[in-house]
Amino acid sequence: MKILLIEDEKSLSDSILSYLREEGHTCELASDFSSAEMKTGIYGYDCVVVDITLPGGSGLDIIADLKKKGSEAGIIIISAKNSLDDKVQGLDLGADDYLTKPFHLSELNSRIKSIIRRRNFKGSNEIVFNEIAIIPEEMQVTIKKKPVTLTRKEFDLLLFFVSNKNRVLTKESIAEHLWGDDMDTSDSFDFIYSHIKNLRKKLIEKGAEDYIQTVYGLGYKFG
Amino acid sequence: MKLLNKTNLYYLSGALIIFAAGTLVFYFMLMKIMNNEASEQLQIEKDRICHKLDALGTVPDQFISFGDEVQIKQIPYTKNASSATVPMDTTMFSKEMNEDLPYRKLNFIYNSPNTQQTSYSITLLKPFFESDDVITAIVKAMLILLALLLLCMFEINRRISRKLWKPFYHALHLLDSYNLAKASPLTFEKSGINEFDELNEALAKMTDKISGDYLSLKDFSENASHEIQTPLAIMKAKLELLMQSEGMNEQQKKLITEVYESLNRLSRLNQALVLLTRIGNNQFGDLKMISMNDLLQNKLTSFEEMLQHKNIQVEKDLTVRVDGMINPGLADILMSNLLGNAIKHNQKGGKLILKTAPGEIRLMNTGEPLQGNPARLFERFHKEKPASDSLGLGLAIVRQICDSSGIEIRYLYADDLHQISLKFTA
Repeated sequence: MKILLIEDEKSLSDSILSYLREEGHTCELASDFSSAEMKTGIYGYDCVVVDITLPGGSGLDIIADLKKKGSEAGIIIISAKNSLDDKVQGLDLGADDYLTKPFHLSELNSRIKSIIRRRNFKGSNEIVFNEIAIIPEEMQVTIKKKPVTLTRKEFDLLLFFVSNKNRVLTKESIAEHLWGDDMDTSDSFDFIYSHIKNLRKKLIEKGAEDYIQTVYGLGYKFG
Repeated sequence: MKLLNKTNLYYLSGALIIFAAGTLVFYFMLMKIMNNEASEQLQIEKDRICHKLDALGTVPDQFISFGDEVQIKQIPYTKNASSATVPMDTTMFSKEMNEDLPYRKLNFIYNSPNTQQTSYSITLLKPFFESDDVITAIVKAMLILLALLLLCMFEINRRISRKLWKPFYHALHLLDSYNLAKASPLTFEKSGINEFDELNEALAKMTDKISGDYLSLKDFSENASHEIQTPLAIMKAKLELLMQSEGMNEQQKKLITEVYESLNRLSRLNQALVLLTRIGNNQFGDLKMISMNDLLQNKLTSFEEMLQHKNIQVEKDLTVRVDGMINPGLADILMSNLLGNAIKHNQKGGKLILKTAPGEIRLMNTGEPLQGNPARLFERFHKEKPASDSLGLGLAIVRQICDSSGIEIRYLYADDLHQISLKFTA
């Protein structure tokens, strides 16, 4: 997958690029408005991750420009400005998603994957991880062709794990992925623990390997 | 009190004092004039009678005096006749009026130069005005005058104020409906009255200044959040990358986790404070009519698993429709925070009761009673358990939203339940 990151903060873009490249994406960086304009003008991308405040202009203009050209790229806004206006305007312009800084890299990764999945509707939508197959649109999971019944949160959790396989996922990033901003209580970690326990149990029961590992002190890892 | 009434009151009291003083002065002057006049009249009559007596040489037989106003008596010759005596006041009983009436009396003895044998004792009387009648008359006249004057004054003032104060009331109306968040500059009409034009100019300058300050503050709060969030985002991203690296020992992992947790806390804190500032700045102006029942129901669904997890029983009675005029984003945060709170501070197997009444939503939950002062519940950074990892801003945000959206919020602990009621006044 070809991804363009438009972000002026070098340290942040380095981290994002490093995380995304490890996922096997081809990533390019534009660190100001004019280079972003140039790159989106010349090349086609599967996904564009764009910061709103850029030296030389607004990321919103780039989104408008992309849409005017009929670009098929999925667009994710990453902005530190948690202002509703930007969010509404961005989504109105045709952006697919909006992430407020600071975000978890795993969250950005899973959202990029979800957007790319939705864009590639023609191809197979099945996500396969060894014996586990997931069809996100139908919320279906099968293990060795046998269906597994998961709750909504367990399904989201599994998808999040598979999207970030072999990565350490912190409790915080899992909580935020599952509940957004609604959940900022210590209870939620306890809650996540029981969800993960249930998910693990269900997967093993159906004959999957135990992929969910606890990484001491840090969080969880799938794979 | 209206300015008009206030000035009228001052006018009235001023007029009363002046009129009272005027009445007194008027009375004394009138009495003095009448006094002098009566004395003068008596003197004239005296001269006339003396002339007559000189001419006649004796008191005429047919001298008739009605009402005893002129009495002339012949007395034996008295040497020291006084020809000019001072008049004095006296009273005489009047049968007709059945009361004592005041009279001015001039009593003197007259020696006619023609006769040396007899003297005349002459008493002249003139009915005098009753002073209380005079006062009554004057006071009556004055009161009528006063009433007329005040009536005129009130009416003129009313007309003037309606016409002259129009620009003032217009400016007042403009100020009243002024909304900083909408940032449209105030434009006052030229009134042609220097004072008002100056006032309007000052107001326009002031509101421009305030609006400018407000905008820069707004910018600052957004920029501050932006500037802080960016390094936070970098730190978070770097830490997450660091976590992915292999070969760390447990001590290192523990340190990283602690930094990461603090970082998350800091970033949540920053977001919450920025949100509080933005609500305080009225930056959520886009109001919509929102069905609180639907919102509550939606939120309940998203908290469902959490409720199950803590085995909390939900009793709800949302039959009465409650609508609120509120920013949708804020309404969402409001309900999330309240429900989240009711779950977080609930006990395992506890209860959550939701009820609606006309214009009112009530959330009740079981849980340990408050240790501290319930009045401080909605304060920023107020925590029941100081060591808890909650930010202590959730309920402060709730209160800020309620204040800015015209919702009355009350907390009560009764029947072993924490009860929060929201009253939608608007």
